[in-house]
Amino acid sequence: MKVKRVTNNIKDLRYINGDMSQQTLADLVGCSRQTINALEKNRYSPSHILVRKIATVFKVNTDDILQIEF
Amino acid sequence: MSTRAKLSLINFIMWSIAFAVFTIVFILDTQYNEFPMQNYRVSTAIIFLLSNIVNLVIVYLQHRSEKSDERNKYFESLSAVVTMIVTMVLIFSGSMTLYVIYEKSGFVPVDWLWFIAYGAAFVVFIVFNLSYVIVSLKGTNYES
Repeated sequence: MKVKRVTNNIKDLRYINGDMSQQTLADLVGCSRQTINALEKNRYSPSHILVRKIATVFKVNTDDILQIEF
Repeated sequence: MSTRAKLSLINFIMWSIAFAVFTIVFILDTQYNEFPMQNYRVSTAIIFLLSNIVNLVIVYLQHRSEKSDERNKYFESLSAVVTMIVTMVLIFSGSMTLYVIYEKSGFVPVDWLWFIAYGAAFVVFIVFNLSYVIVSLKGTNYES
């Protein structure tokens, strides 16, 4: 199975959740601000654990974080 | 470019300069006997020691500037793999070059062992820092 496209809406979720800063999200999930920035720009493929942490912070499912197009 | 990557770039430049100075001192002393009263082994060891001190300061600043997380660790592991392969290829090429040059005479000047040993250490630092900068700039895409 080939993946056509992977996108994420972390930036939108941050905006919805009180315009949360990258640094705040990074502190909550235990990573650096640069990693959140790289994630938003699709320049880093995160681990499942990190995606789960982000989903927990925003109280959504992991599928709402990453959209994978097959 | 992140602060960690910028410091890696500075570290790369510092190690490259140190390696160039090391090579010049070594060649001038062993091939042309430019410093007959000095021992190249002491000079090169001092260059290596000073470089390591600067390296320690830069690594400390890197850890202070940016939290180490899974992304940094992943980039570091990628850089370590690149470093291992490049170092292996360079040591192999260097050793084989010496073999080809000195094959007829039947012996290799022992100075070259000193150069290969220290040179390998310099190459490790140079390649690791350069590859870290490249990997962090390029990023890693999602698997397809």
